[in-house]
Amino acid sequence: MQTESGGDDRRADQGSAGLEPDDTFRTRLGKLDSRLREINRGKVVAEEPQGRSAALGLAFRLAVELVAGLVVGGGIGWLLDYWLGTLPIMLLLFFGLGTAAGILNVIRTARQMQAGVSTSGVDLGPDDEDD
Amino acid sequence: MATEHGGGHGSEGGLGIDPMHQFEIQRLIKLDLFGVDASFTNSSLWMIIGVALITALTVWGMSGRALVPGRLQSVAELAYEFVANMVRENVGSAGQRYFPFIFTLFMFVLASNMLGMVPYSFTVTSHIVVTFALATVVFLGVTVIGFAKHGAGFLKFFVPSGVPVALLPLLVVIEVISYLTRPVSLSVRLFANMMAGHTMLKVFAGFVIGLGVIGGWAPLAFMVAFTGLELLVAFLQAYVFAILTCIYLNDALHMHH
Repeated sequence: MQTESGGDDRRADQGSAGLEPDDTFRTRLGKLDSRLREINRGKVVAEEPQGRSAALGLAFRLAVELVAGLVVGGGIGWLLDYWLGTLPIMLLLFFGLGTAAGILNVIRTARQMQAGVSTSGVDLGPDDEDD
Repeated sequence: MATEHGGGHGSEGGLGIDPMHQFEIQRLIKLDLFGVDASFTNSSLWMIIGVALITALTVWGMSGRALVPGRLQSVAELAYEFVANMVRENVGSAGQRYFPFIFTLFMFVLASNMLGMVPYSFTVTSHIVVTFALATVVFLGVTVIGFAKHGAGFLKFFVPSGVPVALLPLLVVIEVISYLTRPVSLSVRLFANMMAGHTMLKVFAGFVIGLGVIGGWAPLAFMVAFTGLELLVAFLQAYVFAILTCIYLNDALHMHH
């Protein structure tokens, strides 16, 4: 189907080559643009498996972010308890605060991912198109 | 001599393979500095190999300074431009001063990850000591830059805007904890990715040997695919490490979330 339309283009170009070079150039450019878009649309479907492994990376990033909040919060609480001698109180308090911080980090990371600063874009092509 | 327990793990046969053996630190040259064990280990060796390869790529590869670059020069220029674009997009023009650091960091992590894919090599970044040290340097450096740039005003970074005063103490504490999680998440992400991937590779390699000529082909096919994925992960994690450094640097320089 594609080769057929390509042949048509060539014949049309040869016919009107001398009359309006600017116009034919523009129509050819437009056709090329639409064809490129079609090809790219096909490519998105083809890249699905790689997108899945990238999604795994994103999910892992979010999980680490949450766990890091818990660990740091718990660590601070335990240290404070160790210094002040109030064993369960600070640990419990800062474990909760650490959870909150972890969730905050997850939300922020997710927002960053949506903004396109994400780790999924190994090629920076889509960013250029958006801006 | 120092690698006494290095050999002999293959002679056990069957499933007697130890997937964690690859992460073992071995002292190659024993060294004791004032009671501190500063031995030259296999980890040190592979760090030096990584640094030597990067230096060779950038110094020797660029030595021709050809207008039309050769292969090595192309790789060096590609790496340079890749990091330069990353810094420009994420930090802006103010970040250009810190480009050498981010380039060094990216290349070191990338070289360590990639060298880890070479059979019988040692993956430097699969140890949390190494990644945490790198992340701590980034964290302390960024914090110092923030305070040097904004003075005490950098503390406003921890005060979210537009919240009721009653909630402020709670939110500031949460913000500070959130800030302190940065080195942890940065280092754990890199180390866990590298260690999990390499352990998986070794476990499935054990399956190939265990199942023998008849059944070993399925895990072998998986190994091939998984090695490709691991190469992707090795690059991606270096990229993530560098880009997060850029984002943290941007926070410190321009103070917005």
